[in-house]
Amino acid sequence: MRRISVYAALWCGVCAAAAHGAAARHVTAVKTKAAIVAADAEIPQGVILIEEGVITAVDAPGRLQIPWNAEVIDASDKIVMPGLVVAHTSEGLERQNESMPDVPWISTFDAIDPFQPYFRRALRDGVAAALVLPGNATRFGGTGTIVKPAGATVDEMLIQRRVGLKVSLAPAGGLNRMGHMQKLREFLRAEQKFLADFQTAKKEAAQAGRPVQEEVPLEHKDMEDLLAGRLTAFVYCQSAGDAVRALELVDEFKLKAVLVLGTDAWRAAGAIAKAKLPVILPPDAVFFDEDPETGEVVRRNLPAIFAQARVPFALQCHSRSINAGSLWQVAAEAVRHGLGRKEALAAITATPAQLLGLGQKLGQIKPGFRANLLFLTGDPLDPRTWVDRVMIDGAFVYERAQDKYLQELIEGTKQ
Amino acid sequence: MRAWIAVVCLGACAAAADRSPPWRALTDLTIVTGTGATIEGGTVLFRGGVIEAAGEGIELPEGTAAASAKGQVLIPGLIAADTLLAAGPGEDERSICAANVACDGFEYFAPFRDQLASGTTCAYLSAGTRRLVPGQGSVVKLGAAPERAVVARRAALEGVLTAAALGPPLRFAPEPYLRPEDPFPLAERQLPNARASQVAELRAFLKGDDESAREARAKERVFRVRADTEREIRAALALAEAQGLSLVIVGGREAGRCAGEIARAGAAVVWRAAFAPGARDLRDLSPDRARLEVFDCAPAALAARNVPVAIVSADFDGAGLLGAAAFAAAHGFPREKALAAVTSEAARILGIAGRTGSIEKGKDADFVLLSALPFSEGASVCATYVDGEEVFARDRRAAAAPGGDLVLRGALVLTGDGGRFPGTDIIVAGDRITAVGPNLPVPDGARVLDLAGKVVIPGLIDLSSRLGTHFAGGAGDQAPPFSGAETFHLSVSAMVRHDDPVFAACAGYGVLGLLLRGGESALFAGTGAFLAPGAGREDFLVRPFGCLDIDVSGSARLARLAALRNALRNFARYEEARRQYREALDEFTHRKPRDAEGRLKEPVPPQKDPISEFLLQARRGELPVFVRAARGDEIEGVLNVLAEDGGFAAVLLDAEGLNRAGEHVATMARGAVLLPPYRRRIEQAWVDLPQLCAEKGIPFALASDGAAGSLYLRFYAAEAVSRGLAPDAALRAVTSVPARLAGLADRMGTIARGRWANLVVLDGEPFAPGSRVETVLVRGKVLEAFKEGGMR
Repeated sequence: MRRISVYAALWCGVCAAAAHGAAARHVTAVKTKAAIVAADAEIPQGVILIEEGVITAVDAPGRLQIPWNAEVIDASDKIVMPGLVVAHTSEGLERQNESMPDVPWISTFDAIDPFQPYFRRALRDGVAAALVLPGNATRFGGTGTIVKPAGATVDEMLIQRRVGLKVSLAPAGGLNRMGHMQKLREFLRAEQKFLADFQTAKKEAAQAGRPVQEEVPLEHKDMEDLLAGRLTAFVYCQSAGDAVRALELVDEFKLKAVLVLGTDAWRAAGAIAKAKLPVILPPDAVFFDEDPETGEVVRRNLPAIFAQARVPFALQCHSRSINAGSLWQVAAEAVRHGLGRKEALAAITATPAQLLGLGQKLGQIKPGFRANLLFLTGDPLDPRTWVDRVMIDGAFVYERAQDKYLQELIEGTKQ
Repeated sequence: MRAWIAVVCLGACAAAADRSPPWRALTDLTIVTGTGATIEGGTVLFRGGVIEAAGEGIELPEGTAAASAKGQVLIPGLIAADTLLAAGPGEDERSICAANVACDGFEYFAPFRDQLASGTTCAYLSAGTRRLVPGQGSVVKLGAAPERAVVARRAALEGVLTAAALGPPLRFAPEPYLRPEDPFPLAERQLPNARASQVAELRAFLKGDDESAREARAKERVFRVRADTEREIRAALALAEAQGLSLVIVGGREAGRCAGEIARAGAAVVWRAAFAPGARDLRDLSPDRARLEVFDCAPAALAARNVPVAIVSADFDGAGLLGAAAFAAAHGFPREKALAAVTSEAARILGIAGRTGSIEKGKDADFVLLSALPFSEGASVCATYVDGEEVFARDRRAAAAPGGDLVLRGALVLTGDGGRFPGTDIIVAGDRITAVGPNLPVPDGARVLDLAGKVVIPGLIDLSSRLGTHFAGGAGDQAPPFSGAETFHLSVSAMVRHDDPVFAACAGYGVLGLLLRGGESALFAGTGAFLAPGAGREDFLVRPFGCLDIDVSGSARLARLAALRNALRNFARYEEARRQYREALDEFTHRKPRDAEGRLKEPVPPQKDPISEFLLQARRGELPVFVRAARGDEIEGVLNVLAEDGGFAAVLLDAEGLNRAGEHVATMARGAVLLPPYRRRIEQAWVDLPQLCAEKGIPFALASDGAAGSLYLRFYAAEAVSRGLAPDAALRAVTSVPARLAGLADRMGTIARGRWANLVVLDGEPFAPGSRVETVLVRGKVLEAFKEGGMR
């Protein structure tokens, strides 16, 4: 009898705890036709539990109990996958970059325009997070900002500030490549020298008992982080030769880097693979190349080339491009011409998330990850599929049925 | 246990052997080492991108992948001692940017096809031509992997004393992080804008404490000055002397005029050829420049003073080095130094002689295979190797083309239009020739006929034959098989059978095109048929109507000329009527759909006139017009009538009166078909018709005008050769000229890519007495009679 009472007390305690949890936390359960939880894993009729914008559980319906108090979203006719991640874009800015070449301290945070059509379009195409970086027409272009394409102010959109620093190896403004490279190195060396001098001065001041300036001046902060490897360099390589020089630069200055490749830079795939650096491929990743001598036309499938070279890669799109307007379009095109499905899905979800340093938060459906979910009408790489709803941080931010702008696009404005 | 150890050891050895790069070799070569020696029957052994041995009688290690390159000449990879391959379109805005390094602008993965195809494997990259100190030059290898490409990152400090460096742009360099208290900076002017400041600025820079200037003063770095005129060169010499620099003069157009001073200063010269073949050269040639280019060419004067000279082509792209060296050699530069000026000497001037520039043990395996000795006529690059890898091979496309069925290897090829190429290969795919050239790669699965020592000519063409009609009337071969208006629209090919053995015999003698003639008694005497002896049923009849014969010879010549004129006027009306009909028909078909009441009448076509129909074809260029005219006045008359009334240019048949015809016959007739006897007694004088045509510049074909005679066309031509006709002209007269006159030059009569593979293999020159036909190919197939060892 005593034993029974102990059990009863325990049971009451458990119930109370559960009731307390339920009262404090709002649980959402999503029933799906299939949950693509990662690039290489799919759970048929998977159920996803979400609390406070974070995924708490995902499993097959028989193996997961939906709490009695959960709000159930029945999407059992939809395929659900993680929200797409854009690893590099210069769209959505008021201007893409400064015309001065060395401006590492500026940030896209100050220039993101929430009302640029880019964000509306990105959301419609299933993007849940995008790194907005300065354009390529500079040397040190400034730092990037990770945003979600939903919200009326930059603060609402913000996921993370000061992510990545744009370093461009393509000369702009009539300069030649060797001058560009030389100035780039000189700038880095000057910063190295400044930071070393600063540290010496700090030490001397501390020893002499003078007031110590702890932090480096603001305009040197970003370069300090870059040189210390705390900020990733997003190095734009227009050509294959640029990619070789980027590898030299990364080696010389011990940078943490991601290479943002131009259309021609794929020829350096072997060298990039040896250096074990991840890349972001150009929007037109599948294209026709004509041999100037023989006139032979060859289809180049850059994602397939880099997959074969075992280089981690993320895909990119450009909303003004016809062939590469959205990430799934680029991925589907690459798969159509020989890329594996697993690699293609990873290149628009998990890999870009990793490049953004959010590999444990974005790009997969896993406990602990943000509840960024796409509800698709079919397979993600099927051109007939569309994004029906987008959930970011557990809340629906896009519903196709409510997309007035799309309706106008399709039906025309009512007179 | 012991066995185990042995096994493990063996395994380890095998693994080690696998890791070391494989031995490779090219054998049977003539090696021109680039340092003056020429080795016959040599071998080059290389491994891992480095030459291990080169010379005669080299023992090949076991497992060497050796390839014979018989007949080819191996030279070192050529070195372009000055290029702008890294400069790109832009320029640094600074007048002095000594820290710039040229290989920062280099595209490692660009194909460099032009350069590699002309044998260039290594290039000096200049930092630029339009700034006073544009930077430091680099030396790179083309077509090499990036980790091996850079031979010297900082090969030389560059200065520019030519006018191109004058007038640098305004320099705008504000502090990037402006504070409110900073004044906004203005753009700065830069020197030099005048020649005087150009030298002064450069002097100040070289004296100064810039790191690169210090290195140049310490002779750790060569100082390269772009200088063309005598004044610029003297200024460069003075600068170098004052600061104690080791100097290389680049450009050096007038270097010959101060060769002595250059020699005394111990400087070297990278000389830029004035002219690049293949490009339009629009430079104005002043009298001084003309003297300089033709008589005062710098390399000759420099060589005379033993100044080291490297030569580059007029373009800055590093291609065409052999041509540039040949240009210098043609202007007095010693021939024996010409190759060194683009190989070993260039390497020494660039300071990379330890890596490349000659064929020696320990040097990089960068070399070029030529079809003949460098600077010999027609020598071309067959293949280029960089680091032991083939990076260019001629006619890769032919190699890639599928279905090359047959390779005729190594014969003397007489192309039929004047070409004479020894040791040449022909690739046949299907019924066509797909490639002609030396050392062509053998396509997969192709059969190879080794024809070394043999001669290949195109199949012969007889433009007047009666073979196979078996017409042997009482009057002999002169009478026509058939003629007259009622049979005019029939093809004479109806008279012959494709499987008649006479055609196989004819093909066996190498005659693979026959124009079978119809009648010849009337003005419009008939139409010929063009046949292909030896071809199968489908291919035998090339054209049912191969020519239109007009005969104005004989006693009724005046009447015939008048009739011809009438016929041509009739034809003009016919043509007009046809045109009107076509227009009316167009109008009718256009309007018909909207003509509900059916009021429109369909136009009536003009009645068909067979002769005019043929003339219409002739007008469209589909049917050649042959005119039989003997006497000089006949020839002139008929050509005039045809030109004036019809606008036709005809082919003369026989035309023995050419010696009497006016000079303008050569321009009015398309050519002449000569019929035997080719040498005739005309008006008390012996006239050799082939030689007469050759003298007057009239294209002529030799025809047999016989039945059995068609078989012996080659001997007819040989007879003409024995009387003094050039063998080359005789071959044209039985191959390319008849093909052209018959309007079939796009498929027969020459050996070239795209033509039918109608080939005759002989064991000697085609017109040498006793030369035999060894094999005949008709449309790519070996003739039946030759499949069992040939005719004996």
